[in-house]
Amino acid sequence: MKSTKIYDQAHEWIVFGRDPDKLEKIIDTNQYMVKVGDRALLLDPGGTEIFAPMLTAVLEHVRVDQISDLFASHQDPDIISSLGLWEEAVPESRLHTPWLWEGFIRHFGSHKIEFVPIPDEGGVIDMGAIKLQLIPAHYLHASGNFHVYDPVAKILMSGDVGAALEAPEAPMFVEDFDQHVANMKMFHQRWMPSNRAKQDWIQRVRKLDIEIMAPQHGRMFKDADVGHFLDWFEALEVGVAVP
Amino acid sequence: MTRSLNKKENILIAAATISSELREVRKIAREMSLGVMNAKAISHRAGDTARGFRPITDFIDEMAHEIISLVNQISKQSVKFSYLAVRHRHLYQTTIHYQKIIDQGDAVKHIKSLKKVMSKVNADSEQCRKSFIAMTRKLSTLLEDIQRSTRGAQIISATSRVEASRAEGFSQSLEVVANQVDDSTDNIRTRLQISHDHLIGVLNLLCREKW
Repeated sequence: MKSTKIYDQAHEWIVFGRDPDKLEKIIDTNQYMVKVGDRALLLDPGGTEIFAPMLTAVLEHVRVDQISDLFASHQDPDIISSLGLWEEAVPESRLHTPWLWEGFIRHFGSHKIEFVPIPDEGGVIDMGAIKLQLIPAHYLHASGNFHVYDPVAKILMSGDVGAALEAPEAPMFVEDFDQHVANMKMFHQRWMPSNRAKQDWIQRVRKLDIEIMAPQHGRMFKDADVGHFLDWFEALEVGVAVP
Repeated sequence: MTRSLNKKENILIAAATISSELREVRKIAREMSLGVMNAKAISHRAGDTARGFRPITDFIDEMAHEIISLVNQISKQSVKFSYLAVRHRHLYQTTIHYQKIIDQGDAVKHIKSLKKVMSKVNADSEQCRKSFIAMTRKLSTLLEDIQRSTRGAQIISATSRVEASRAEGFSQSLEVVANQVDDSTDNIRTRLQISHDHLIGVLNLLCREKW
């Protein structure tokens, strides 16, 4: 699995993905890690099927015992079905996840790890020198859903918002926004159920200073493309499966 | 016949099968108990001609209750057995995933930190295996206790037929009861044997394992 540093200052952001050995029918995912001093936080650490390549890639950057926190934006299997495997490795770590999904996520084989339920209005993951903000993104697409904003690195981990279904060899960043729209359109129209939730999220996110918007699938958006995405998403009709 | 268990997955199937077979055994024993109540009523109506049949109904009733009581005991243990089966499977899967990384050796920068974790997982797995073996043996003993309880039933059903034939006017009804007892105990024994075979299969697999 490929790992790329997208922010490398006093703390680091690393994206893991584009696994060439991934089984063909498994959706490609981006996993993120925020490394602050001796601690590391894994954001949407992924499904069981990619656990081994993901942990291999993580071990290039940190020791197992440095992983102090996990975050699951929502309950989907590609987000957190590997929990039972992580738990054996980092039983002392904490899992930050929407309160709504705790009872569901525990079905992924969790007995030891400490759950930190995130209230609907959001919260903070305190990584010591860095305080990461938990931005509500309910109904985008899950009914309890959060994104993670780093005000220092100016990165928004945006979960399924901004996602695109692409080949594993796709570039890490959007290069031509207009061309990229075709990769995102169906995903957003079908997976995102609520225009009202979408508008609410856009209003909230427009107030943030974002240099990189980092979705859980496909390419990341940089600088002006973040604004391009918000404009495009604002105009898009979602929830189209309802006749 | 002892079923062979070649794959770890089969342990989960064995655990589920044992639970299911035990539920059936309890159901049959309950039906036997109800059948006995019917037999008691018939032999009461038959009066002196069915005198020999009455102690038989008492024996069958006692046996059915003993089976139900033993199955209730064993059912609680079989729930723990299923949990251990799942834990065993989980730790096995975990070691497979971790081993894939460890096999890459020093090419992975912080591999030493994972090796420590792997030692802990291996120790947990060994502990789980030992608990699982102990639980399997305990279940096996409980199953043998039930099997022992059913042993006298064959002799009793033969005797009950003889006694049924003496109950003039009621012999046909009592023979039906005798046949039901025969069929039920046969069914119970078969199901207990299936459960026992599964347990032996699990035990063999666990004893062969090396972590």
